[in-house]
Amino acid sequence: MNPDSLHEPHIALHVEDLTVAYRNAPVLWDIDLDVPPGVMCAVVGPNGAGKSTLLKAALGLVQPTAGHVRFFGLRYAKARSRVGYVPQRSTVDWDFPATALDVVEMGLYGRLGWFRRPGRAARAQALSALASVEMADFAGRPIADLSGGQQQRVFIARALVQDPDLYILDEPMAGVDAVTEAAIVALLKRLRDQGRTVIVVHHDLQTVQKYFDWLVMLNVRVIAQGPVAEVYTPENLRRAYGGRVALIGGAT
Amino acid sequence: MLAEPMVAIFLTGALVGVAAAPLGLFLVLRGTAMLTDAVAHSIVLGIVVVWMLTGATSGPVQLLGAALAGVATVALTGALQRSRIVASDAAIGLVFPALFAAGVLLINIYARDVHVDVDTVLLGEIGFVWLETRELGGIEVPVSVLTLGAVLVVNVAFVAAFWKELKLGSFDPALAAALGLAPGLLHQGLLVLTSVTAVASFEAVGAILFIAFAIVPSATALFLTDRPGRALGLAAALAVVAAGAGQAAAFALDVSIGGMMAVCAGALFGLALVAGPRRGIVARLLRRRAEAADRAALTLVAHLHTHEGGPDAATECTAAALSDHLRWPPQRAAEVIVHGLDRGLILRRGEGLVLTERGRAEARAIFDPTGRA
Repeated sequence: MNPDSLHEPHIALHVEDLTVAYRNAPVLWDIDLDVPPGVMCAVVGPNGAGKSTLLKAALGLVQPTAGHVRFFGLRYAKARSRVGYVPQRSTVDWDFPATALDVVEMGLYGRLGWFRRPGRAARAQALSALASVEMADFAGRPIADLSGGQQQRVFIARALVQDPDLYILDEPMAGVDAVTEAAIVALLKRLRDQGRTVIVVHHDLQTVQKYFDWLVMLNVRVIAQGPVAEVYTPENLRRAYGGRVALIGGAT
Repeated sequence: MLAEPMVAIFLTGALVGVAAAPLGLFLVLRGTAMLTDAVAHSIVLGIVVVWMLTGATSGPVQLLGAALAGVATVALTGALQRSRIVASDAAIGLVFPALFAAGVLLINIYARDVHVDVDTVLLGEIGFVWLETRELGGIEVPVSVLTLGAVLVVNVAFVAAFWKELKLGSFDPALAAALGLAPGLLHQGLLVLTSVTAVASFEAVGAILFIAFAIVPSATALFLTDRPGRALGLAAALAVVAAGAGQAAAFALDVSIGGMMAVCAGALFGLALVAGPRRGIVARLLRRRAEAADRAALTLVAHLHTHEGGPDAATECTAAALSDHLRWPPQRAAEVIVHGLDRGLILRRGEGLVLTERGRAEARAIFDPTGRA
């Protein structure tokens, strides 16, 4: 198969036979996964299930042992501009000397390409992205002065400014307050309603049904995937989490 | 005039710091500043090996060979870290002392009677840089100034060309990689240039002091400003000041010039640590006190809001209640009230205290953060 030819172009994220191993121990076993466009998809699973690794492998940050990944039918290298990635907030040093606006501008670095500096247009785009996460007043603030929830909003604005078709977020709701969580969910739903695809690594089973319409359950292997209503079942949850989960919500 | 001893010494010392500043800035931001020390030590091996093979003690071959030793250190350290046999920082500690020791041994065995000796290798000899000069456009210029000037141009060009890529790669390597901006490659480039700079600085400041010139001004500058661009200019300025002050102090006290320049760089760091505008110790203490005062005022606002318009408002919403119910000593209660008045959160009305509109908004934000109730 020619790696540059279109493969499953009607699917936002297509993962086939993906195996990832750290020091020979597989953390992801033979993952087959399809996320259709226009859904808001949660990826859930217990600690160590390989959720973040799945995202990193999909984005080429981790080298898989086997398998391939396509975004809208394209290899990631060809689809960079269509994918916006929001890493876990804790992976960066928030004492870095930068303002909120500087961080949002970084989202545009990929489109600018090598050597070119962001100019006035980039600044304006970054400001409007900050405004859409209600952070316009904080544009000039050093990021070290922001609260956890505000930092997360800045991170999301950095993805917004890329204007991608697919958003991939790694635990955006971790360690943020209730107000920020509600604002983030509303924003992501708005993006979904505009036809964008949103994939979120999520740790809170209680809110899966409320927030998402598509679900991938992961525990080293794919346990189940599909519309939340079909996948969020006691049987699947038991298979993903073992006997360690008390069912909450309307699952029957 | 450039070959005057005092001028040559000052220019060389300042140029080491200024040439290293663009690299040091990003090494500090990435949290890999100690790699500078590793590189500066292991080039000793490179210098000795190149001398044994070619007989050259300076010049482009020497520069390249020694720089390669620095690159080898970084590669070996990286490989050891990836193997996860030892912890990440232990890998640095294992590799460079081994290479450095090998270099020192080779000097002891094969180079006893020649130009390369261990003292010079360790500390450099900035006092003698004016002896070796070259004519450039009719002016005698010290070779060290020429070499460091060339390295400065290369370093500035590299950092200027990749400014935004280096910034993103330092702050968020995962996103930089996802956007295809090769953060790993750029980091390697930084370290290669660090090796080259260390070699160029070697005769002047030696293996041990190089890190003080390369890293300390940048670390100081980052204490003083929140903008990487400004930090770079500041680091260069600090390096110049440290070189000048160090030289003056060294001649006054008749001590090692390179050592005194490093001490001055350290003293400037100490000064920034204490008196820096935002991150300095004094600024932090003041900020913490201001935050505590704000929190106390908000506690008062919450208390007033809870009892506002209630049956017990007359007793609860008074200055006396703060001592009786909140258990604040009268002195502290008075301070909190003054702070609340200053910030426009509360007003005195007769004996009692009432919330202003602003105070009420703050209270609502405390009790109903989602604004739903």
